[in-house]
Amino acid sequence: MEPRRVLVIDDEAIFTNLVKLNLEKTGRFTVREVNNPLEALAAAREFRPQVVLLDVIMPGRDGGQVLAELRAHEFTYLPAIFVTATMTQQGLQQRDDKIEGVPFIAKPVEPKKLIKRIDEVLGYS
Amino acid sequence: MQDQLSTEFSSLAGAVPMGMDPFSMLLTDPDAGVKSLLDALPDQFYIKDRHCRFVFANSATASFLQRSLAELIGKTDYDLFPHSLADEFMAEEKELLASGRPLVNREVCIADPADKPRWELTTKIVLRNDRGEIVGLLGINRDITDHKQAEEQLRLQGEALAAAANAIIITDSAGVIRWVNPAFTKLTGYTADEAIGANPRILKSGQHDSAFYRQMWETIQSGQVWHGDVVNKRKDGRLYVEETIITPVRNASNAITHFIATKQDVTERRQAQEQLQQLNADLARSQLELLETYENLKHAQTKLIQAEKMEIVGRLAAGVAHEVRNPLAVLAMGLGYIEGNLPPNQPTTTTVVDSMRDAIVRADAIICELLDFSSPRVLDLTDQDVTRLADRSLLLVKHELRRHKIEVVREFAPDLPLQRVDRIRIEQVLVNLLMNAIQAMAEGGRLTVRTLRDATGAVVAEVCDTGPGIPTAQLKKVFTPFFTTKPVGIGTGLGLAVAQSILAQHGGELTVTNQSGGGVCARVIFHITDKEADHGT
Repeated sequence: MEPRRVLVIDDEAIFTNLVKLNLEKTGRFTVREVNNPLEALAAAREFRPQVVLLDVIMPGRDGGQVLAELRAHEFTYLPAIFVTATMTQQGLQQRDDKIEGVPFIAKPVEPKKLIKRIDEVLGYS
Repeated sequence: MQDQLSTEFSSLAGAVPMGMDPFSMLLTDPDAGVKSLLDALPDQFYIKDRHCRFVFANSATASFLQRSLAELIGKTDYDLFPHSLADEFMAEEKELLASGRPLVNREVCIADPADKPRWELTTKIVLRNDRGEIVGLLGINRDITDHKQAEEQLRLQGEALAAAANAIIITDSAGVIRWVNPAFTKLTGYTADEAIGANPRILKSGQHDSAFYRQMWETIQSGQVWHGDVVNKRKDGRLYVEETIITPVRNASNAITHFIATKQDVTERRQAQEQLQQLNADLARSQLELLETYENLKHAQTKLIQAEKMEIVGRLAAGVAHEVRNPLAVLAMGLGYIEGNLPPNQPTTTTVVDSMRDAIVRADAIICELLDFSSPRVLDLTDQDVTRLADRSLLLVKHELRRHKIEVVREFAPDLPLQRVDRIRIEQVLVNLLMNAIQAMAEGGRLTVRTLRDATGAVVAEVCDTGPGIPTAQLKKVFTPFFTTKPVGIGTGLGLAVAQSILAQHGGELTVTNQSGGGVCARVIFHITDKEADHGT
């Protein structure tokens, strides 16, 4: 099966790089990193991702705004996962694993769990 | 002179009720029985001639005038009394001698400049000879000074009673009114004429029961003073309150002859008292309200300060979470990558990687608790069986219990009423308490988990360990955020603070005490008992 295209938007370059390394190592994913949220739409148009991972708190534009921008354009149905560092215990337990209807995963996250989540969102699990 | 007098009085027998010539008898025979009789009289007895000169005086007269009888004979009042007084007496006697009209029971005050005034009751009559001619006079004076003083005293007392501002009633022993003073009329509207002869029950208002009057009557009849407030009715029908004192009066033989009642209108005083009491009550209520308001304000202020603190802590925690979790995420990702690239059979390296992963999990747990402690919670309330929650919580720490070789004792009360709680929150609390207990018994011990109803009917869950307990000085600090008795790296010091705030949010309570037999006992007290009817389903 052709690798799935995963767009990773996070201002932490080391993190996006490690996500890329871990995902691509499996041979099932191709990852494109975006560290400046303002460049997200342009990158998406060029990369045509099948799923997008979004950090929530970023300088300039937060993950929610970036996703709204993408969905306002040709990525209306693009599956997305928030990767958040600020989720509380209660949030983790009570929000049905979704923020505003969008699945999320809490940082810190290990590669295996992240991959599992991506598979869930893509409907492979 | 004596002879002359003797001649004049020679035939007095017809004028005085004596069967002999009294004058000659008296004077010529001083030792005769009649003279000694007259001398024995306490009253003054004397005889004067037409010129008002003493012809005879008994011992009482001589003693009063401080002269001997011999000295007195032939003297007039001018020789014995001050001039003005003598004038008066002489005028009186001359009038008597001229008219022949007797002077009966005239009260005379003889002012003694050296002593108290002396009062005398004087009766004087004329003496006639057998021809009916007035030849002199006979006087009898009685000292009535004591009587007069007593009378004066009585008059004063009577006037005092009459003038008293308080109403006064004197009744006889049967309760019939004998006398009232003007203040009584002023108070009741009844005149003395209307009141005297009547019974005091004319004042009855109907505000007191018969037992009240019976007790009053029994008290005064037994000779005791009755004192009390009575609501009475005026003649015009208006009611008033009087403070009454009824005193029984006894005669010499100790029998009650009269009752004296003094009455003071205390209607205004009563009203003032009632107003004062009302004002006092109002004041007390205002004070209470003020105190309540103050307490509420204080509470609100405390909550506000707490809320502000929590907001700051919350913002801080969110910031810290973001800043710490991002590097932790890098570490976790990196570790995952390294792990995947490890050559086989490298147990030491695997252990190192596991330790690093544990460290990440631990660091993240602290962030989680910090966020949890500081972020506002919304409770998802459902009816829950506390025993089941305790059991489930035990299941969650099953591995830890096994690892530390801890024996578990379950003492669950059956049929506890359901509690409306947030299941996840309460389980979080119970797991927290269980973890504390387990960490206190790292070398093994016995964990007792109980559910019960306490004396107040509240449902309680208890987690007790057989660990070393908490030093008394530190017991009260266990709920303080970031306070911990555990070694560095084991706890954040937020667990009990979070647990307490969760329970407080439920209207419940968390207590932590040392057990007498050693170890700690944590009690979760649920105050939600309005679901008592629903027993475990």
